[in-house]
Order: sequence, then structure tokens, then C-alpha cells
Amino acid sequence: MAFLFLPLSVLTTATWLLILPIVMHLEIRFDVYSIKGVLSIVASLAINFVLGYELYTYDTDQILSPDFAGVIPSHLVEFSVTRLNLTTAFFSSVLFTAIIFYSWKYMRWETLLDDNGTYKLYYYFLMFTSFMGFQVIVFSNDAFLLFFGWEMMVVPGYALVAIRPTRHAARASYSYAIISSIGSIFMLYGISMIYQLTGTFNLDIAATMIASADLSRDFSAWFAIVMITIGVGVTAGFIGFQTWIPDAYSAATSPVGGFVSGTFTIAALFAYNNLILRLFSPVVFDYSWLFIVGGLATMTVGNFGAVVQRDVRRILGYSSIGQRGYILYGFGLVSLATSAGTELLGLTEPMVVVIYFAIGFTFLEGNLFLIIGKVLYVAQFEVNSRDIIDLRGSLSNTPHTAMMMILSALGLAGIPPTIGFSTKIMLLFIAGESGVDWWFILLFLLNSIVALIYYSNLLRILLFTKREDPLDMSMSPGTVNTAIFLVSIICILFGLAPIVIISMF
Amino acid sequence: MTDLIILPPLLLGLLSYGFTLWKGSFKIKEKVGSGLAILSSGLSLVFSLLSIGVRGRKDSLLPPWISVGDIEIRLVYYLDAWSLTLAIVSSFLTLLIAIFSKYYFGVNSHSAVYYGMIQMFLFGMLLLVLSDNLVFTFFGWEIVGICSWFLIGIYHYKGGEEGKKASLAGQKAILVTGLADVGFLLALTLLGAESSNISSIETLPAVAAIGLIVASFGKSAQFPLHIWISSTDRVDIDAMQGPTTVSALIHAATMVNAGVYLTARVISIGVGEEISQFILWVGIISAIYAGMSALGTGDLKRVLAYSTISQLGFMFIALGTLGSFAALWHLVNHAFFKALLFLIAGYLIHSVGSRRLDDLRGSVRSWWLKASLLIGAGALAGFPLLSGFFSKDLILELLVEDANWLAYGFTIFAVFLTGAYSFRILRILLGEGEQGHEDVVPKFTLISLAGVVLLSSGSYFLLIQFPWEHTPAILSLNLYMLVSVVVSLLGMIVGYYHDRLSAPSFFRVLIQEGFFVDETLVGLSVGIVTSVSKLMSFIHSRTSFWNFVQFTTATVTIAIAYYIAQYGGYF
Repeated sequence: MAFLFLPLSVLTTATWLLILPIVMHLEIRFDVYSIKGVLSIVASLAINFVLGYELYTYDTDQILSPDFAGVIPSHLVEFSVTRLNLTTAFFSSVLFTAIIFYSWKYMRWETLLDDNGTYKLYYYFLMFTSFMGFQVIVFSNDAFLLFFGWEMMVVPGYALVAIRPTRHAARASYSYAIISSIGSIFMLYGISMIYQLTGTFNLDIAATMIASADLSRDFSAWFAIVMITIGVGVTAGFIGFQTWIPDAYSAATSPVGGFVSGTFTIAALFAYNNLILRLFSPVVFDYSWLFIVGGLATMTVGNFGAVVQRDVRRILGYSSIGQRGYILYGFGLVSLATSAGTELLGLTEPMVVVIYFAIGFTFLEGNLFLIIGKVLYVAQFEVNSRDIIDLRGSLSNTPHTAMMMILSALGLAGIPPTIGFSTKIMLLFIAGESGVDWWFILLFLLNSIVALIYYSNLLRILLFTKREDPLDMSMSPGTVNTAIFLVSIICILFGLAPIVIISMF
Repeated sequence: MTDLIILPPLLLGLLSYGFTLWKGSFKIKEKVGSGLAILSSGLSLVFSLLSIGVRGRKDSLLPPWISVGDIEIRLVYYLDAWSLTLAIVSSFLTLLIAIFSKYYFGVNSHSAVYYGMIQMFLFGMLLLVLSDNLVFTFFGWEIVGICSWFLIGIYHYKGGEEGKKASLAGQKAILVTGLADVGFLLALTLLGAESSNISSIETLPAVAAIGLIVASFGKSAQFPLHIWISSTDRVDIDAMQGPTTVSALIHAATMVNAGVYLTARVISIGVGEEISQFILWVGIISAIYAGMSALGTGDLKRVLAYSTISQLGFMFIALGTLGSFAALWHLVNHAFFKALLFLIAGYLIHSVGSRRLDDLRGSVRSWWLKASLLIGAGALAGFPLLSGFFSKDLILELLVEDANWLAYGFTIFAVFLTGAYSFRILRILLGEGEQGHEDVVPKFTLISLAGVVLLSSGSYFLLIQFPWEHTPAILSLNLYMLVSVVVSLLGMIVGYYHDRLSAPSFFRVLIQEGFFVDETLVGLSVGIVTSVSKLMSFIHSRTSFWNFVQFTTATVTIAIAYYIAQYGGYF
């Protein structure tokens, strides 16, 4: 049973990816277009269930490696299943399930709307491949395996951005593909430097070797750090490499935006954590200021950029840059504290707080994308525009969706009672303990006020404006509403009782 | 036990909010919503009255909110004179205003949302004042902030110019107070999770203290962060765009007191001399500035809003001299007489259909309204033996005790201004005018009016019934009291005969326009944010620039790599 070295959820996803082409073939053969979506929902629920079960029965950390009867060294391909990995993958899969559920009717509607609908055949295939890549990144205990997962995650991303092949989408997808490929090359180069320094890809062994050798003045170690920072930074939206985000998000359809914005950020955070923080101890290599200043610059560009935008999905794209800035900033704080030897909040793994922030962001931003998707879905029939002025008052007569929109937007601005408040408070607490000067905390807080400007603008224009010719919101399918409702409930429950989620790590 | 104070508005509020989603008739929704609001605020009132006499920290029965590593953030209550008084005042006024809203807000598409929001507001307010942990204080702080935003903007459903102004005014409120809240979060960060229980803080870092005080100034609308509660007649985008009941409850009697409450907590920990002087002088500037602006405006609600800023300034003056009790007492008195004045204003606006003082000239006809107005305006002006008189005099005596004569002089001037603007509106509303029309008021809503009338006339006698930590030595007849009585009477006379006086025209323009503070600040901040963000998105959209950055980075890195490969001895 050589394949059992894969984590169970990856195995489930892989199985579904093997079955999916057959389903697709049958659909074309018999000209029915509804089985694929339903079965995808079932598959995503199965992934969810597997992860939940593993989390429930978790007792110790496990290292999964193949047994090739000694022919190949077993540490070459290694997965580690820890509580942190399982929790992260579990919550990401919850959002993924919601998005797949949302996509079921939504994508069918998009297929009907376009003349040439067949290209959306690959939608689920791409989504599941990308999500499988994400899981590989999260569970990998090996630098090369991580890169493998990385490519598996981002390459479908290019196609997903252009799943609706307008001119705009094609251009956005193309620029994303180019910049992301450059990033992948950088990352690969950095990983090869790690191999050159240590002679292994295994993260545990490499970390021990780097820690035992004195590499503080070694140029190639620094070189690896910079290479990986840039390479992962393309996906993480690091300042200078953030240009693709607004274009790609405004071009992609809403469920894709909701999936890509959060999940890819978590993956980038894991890549940073595994390839930089785990291998190169900040005590020796002080790169924390790179991330703190880079994070502040990223959030400033994102937040200020969003204020004057008029395209709703572009606003979300810029807001996503801002939130990525917070996450990079948090990563910098954790490494700063590690370099000073401060024990943050008495946590053995202080990165938990940043991952918690990223998960909160994933849910809130995902929910906002789903709600905007619903608005655009309905508005297509009447105004066919993404301009916020054309969409004014579109949510003013739907109390349910309006409420959920308020919760998500306020959550992203860090206002109670949603999960966004608790994640922001936790991030602030580690900022307070990390020993960073209070000016840097003030800059972060002022940034969140700029964010409040465009979130409140969004609410004012979409919700608190009377529309003369109200849109008929009942037109949107029930599955769309259910998915939004599900994600909103998660956001509010974990906002009122964050202890439930944070004690899972 | 203390859980029972905060839970009714939360649970019943959620219930009534859930009820808004029901597609039923507006009439039933309004009945259920107002019923739940009255019930929940009544329950909170009963339980907080039952808690009188309870002192100190009380654990909540709710599970911890966050528990990770070393830290455990859980809800802990801290009961003392401040928190209990504010809890009682908030729930009592919510009860009265929920009753009055049945007349004022009526039945419309948003009445269910309105009552849900009122209850959420009460929940936030009670959490804010009762919590010992600053995290939960901030939780409540933000809840009341959002409720205020949505309630100011609730008339957006009317559409048109009015709806647009309402939703802009709500946004302005949340942004200005949100900017001030940065100070709160900074303080929370610097204090850390372990020492966020305010009753156990021993020393407060200066930055944290200033942060908390700035946040208080934002919430309590002190100069120059007052622009969200009252702008000028020309700008007309401020909290007064909301329903008058909301102004009475949130922007006069309860939420704006949150800042005073927080500052009182801060000075009870102990602050430096500079910080208390800072509080004192901001209070004085706000009291004088708002008093002058109140004389210039031509809008009834705006006079009351400016007067709120000015009276809150008096409370900060008391806190600046470390006179916690005087501030609390003035807070209670102000809450009642300002709620009374706003309710009268609401009644007049509802009858006449306009907020302009010119249209409202002589609109008070019936004897009970005249009597209520006299009591309210008299208490505000500090007419002897009405409630405002005692607390204002106590504040002045604190300054005399400190021998801070400069501050005393300015405060006496603010007392003069208070008398002037309150009797100015009294003259206008009681004087001769065209308006003969008066609404027929449902009898039961008069309960709320009677309640506040009673409390604004006799809050002193009510207050001394409470078991205070220290009984204030007041009502000592002395020269200073005589001075303040004379000055405020002088102010009342000047205000009453204001139309016979004429100020220089340039000065009149200045006070009419509120010294252009609003336009300057809003223009500056909007200008800065817009230009920076235009610059950012311009730079962002220059793909060639970013390609240059990216490819330069790439080339330089590869060049270094090549260098290492060649000379570094690798590969």
C-alpha cells in the first residue's frame, strides 16, 4: 500500500480527480449537465468529512512517508500531519465546500448566459486540482514537495481567472501567469539553494543542519531567503509583486475570487513559515524587518488604492492586498519576537495567531466575494455593470443579504461581532508583545481606518441608498443564498466564541 | 446576576432583528419590535436596580472568549458607582425612548430594524460600562458605534436628498469615531492581554493613557472631533440627520457619555499632571466653542447637539480637575434634561414638520409642553434649584479649590453661554409665531416625558439616596456660588433678549459657520486620503513601472547568483 503515505484528504481529492474526467465524458456523451456539480459537492463534503474525522481522532503528530522497500530513501517525499495543518486544511475545506456549493447553480447560469459554454466544463477539475495543491503545501514536510504542491495550486489558478474568456480576463490571466511563473522560478531557485546548503529537501533535516552550521555570514543562505521571499511574495501580494491581484480578481468570476483570495494567502503563509521561519532561525538571520516594513507598505498600497476604485470586484481585490499586508506584518512580528527570544502569549507556535488571522480573512473575504457575486448575478440582467454607482442600493431591499454583507465588511475592518474582531485583537496582542515600537502599531491601526473608509463606502452605496428600480433579488438561486448563509454563520459564531476555533490548533 | 443585566437586550434584540426578516405586515412587526424593546430595557432596568449596593469584580457565567497560551480573555464585570449609574440611566432612558418612539417613529418599513438596533445599542452600552476587561469594553464601544451609524442613517429609505444626507451622516460618524478608536486599540495593545482588566491596572503608560483619552474625545464629541455630532447649517451632514428619538437616546444621553466614563476610569488609575491639564483644556475649549456655535445655528436639533458638546466639555473639565463625582453627577443630570429637551424637540418637529427655528417660532402652545420646556431649559441653563445648577456649581467649586483661576474664568464664560443659548431657544419656541398646529399625542407616550421631567427637576434628591463612596460637600452657600448664579442669570437674560442685540457681522458669520472647523477638517482629510489613494492607484496601474521593479529585482538577483556561482566557489 505505497499510496497510503498520502494524507487521507489528499487521497480523497486525488480519487475524485480521477473520477471527474469520466463524469465529464459521460455528461458530454449523454448531453446532461447537472451531475458533475452535484458529485463535486459530494466530493468536497467527503474531503471535509475526512479532515474533520482526522482532526477529531488526532492524538499525535504523524510523519507520513512512502515505503519503497528501501530503494528510494523514505525522507525524500514526506508529509507531516499535525494539528495545525489539519485545522488549517479543515477550515479551508469548509470554505471550499461552500464555494463549490455556491458554484453549482451559479456556474450553470454562467454557462447558459454565454454562447460558448463548454469551456466551463473544466471549472470543477481546476478547482479541485488547485485545492489538492493547497493541501499538499499545507501537509508537506519537504521543500520540493511543497514546490510541487505550489505549482499544482497556482497553475489552475491562471486558467480559473480566465474561466470566463472575456478580453479583460484573458489579459489578466496572462499577466498573472507571467508574473507568477517568474515567482515560481525564484522559489525553485531558493529551494535549490537550500538543497545546496544542506544536501536535502527534507525540512526537518535541513532545519537541523542549518541550525548546527554557522551560516550567518553565508551569502547563499541570505540569497535563499530573498529568493523565496520574492517567489512566494508574488502570491502573497508582497509589495512590488501585487500588481496582478486587482486585475485578476476583477476579471475572475466571484466564486473563483473567493477561493483564490483566501486559500492562496494561507498557502503563501505556510510556504513562508516552512521555508523561511522553520529553516532559517531569525536569531541568526534577522529578516523580520523585511516583512514588517514590507507588510506595512503592502497594506498602505492596498488600502489607499481601494478608496478611489469604482469596480466592486476591484475594490475587493485591493482590500485583499491590504489584508495580505496585515498577514505579512504578522509574520514579521512573529519572526521579530522569535529573534528576540520573546515567548508570544506563552504560545509554543506563535504562528498560530497569524494563521488564525488568515483563516478569518479567508472566510470574510470569501463571503464578500460570494455576496458581490450574487449582486452581479442579478444585476447582469438589468444594468450589466460592475461599477459601484450603477449598483447603488442593490441590496437595500434584501435584509438577509444586507445583514451578511454588513457582517463581512465590518469583520474585515476589524469591528465586532464577527471573527475579524478577534483575529485583529490577537494580532494586536502579539504586536504588543513582540517588542515592536508603538509607531509601527499606530501605522497598522491607521491603515485599518483607511480600510474602514472603503468598507463603509461599499455599505453606504450598496445598502444605504434607495434604488428607484429595485433589483429582483429573488432571482438568485437558493444554493447561492445557502452558501452565503453558511459562511456568514461561521463568521459570526467564531466571532462570538473564537475560543472554539483557536483552541483547535 | 450581572449577566441578567446585559443578556435581555442581546437575546431579545436578536429575536426582534430576526423578526425583521419575516415578510409580514409592518404594523405587526412594529408592535412586536417595540414590545420587545420595552420588555428588554425594562428587564435590564430591573436587574440593574437590583444590583445597587453590589460592589467590585463579578465573574460572568459565560465561558471564556479566548483562551490560548498564557492568556485567557473572559468577561468580568466591575460594579461601582460609575458603572451601575450608567447602566441604570441607559436602560431607563432606553425604556422611555422606546415608548416615545411608538409615537415618533411610527409604523414604516424600517421600524422593526429600528427597534432591533435600539436593543443592540443598549446591549453594547451595558457591556461597555459593566465590563472590567478592556477587550469587552471595546467590544461594546464598537457595537454602540455601529448602532449609532445605522440609526443615524436609518432615513436612507426615504431616498432623495434627505436619504443621501442621512447615510452620509452615518458614515461620517463611524469614520470620525473610528479614527479616535485607533487610540483605544493602541492602548489595548500596549497594555497587553494579561493586564487588560481595568480594575487591576496599576500604572498606565503615557501613550496608552493618551490613546484612551483621545478615543474618549472621539466618542464624546470633544473639539475638534465633534464634527460628527454637529456640523453647520450649510454642511448639514451630522448625527442630527437621524430620528430625534435616536438623538435623544444615543447622541445626548447615553453613548456620548461613554467617553466620559472611560476617561473617569483612566484618571482613577492615575495620570500625570500634563494629561489631566490636557483633559481640562480640551473640555474648556469644547464648552466655549460649542456654546458659541449653539448661539449661531438656526436649527433646533443642532442647538441641542452643540449644547451636548458643551455640557460634555463641563464633564471633562471636572475630570481634568480629578473631580470624578462632579462629572458623574453632571452626566446623570445632563442625560435627563437633554433627553427631555430632545423629546420636546422631537414632538415639535413631528408636529410642524421642520427643524428650522424660524419655522418653529411660537410652536409651543399647551401648558404641559411649556412647563416641560421651562424645566428642561432651566436645568440646562443652571437655573437655581433645578438639577443642572447643583452639578455645574460643583464643577466650578472644584476649579476654585484648585485655584486654577484662568480655567475658572473660561468656565464661567461657558456657563454664561449655556444660559444664553438655552434661553434663546426658549424665547423662540415660546414667542409669537404663526404655528398653531399641534399633534395629538397618544397618552401613554407622555409617560416618557413625565419621567424625564421629574428626573431633571429633582435628580439631586434621587441621587443622594444612593450609597456613594463619598458624599460630596455641596450646597455650601458662598461667594462663588453667587457669582455663578449671577453669571448664568445674566446669560439667560442676554439669551432671552438676543434679538435686541446685534453682533458684528463677521463674528456672526464665524459662529454661524462653527468657525469653519468642520469644512476645514473634512476637506483636509478627504483631500489627503483621496489624493494619496489616487496616487497609489495611479502608480499601481503603471504596469511598466512595476515590470521595471520586478525585472530589476530579478536581474539583480540573478546577477548576484551568477557572481556567487563564479567566484563564491559553489556549484
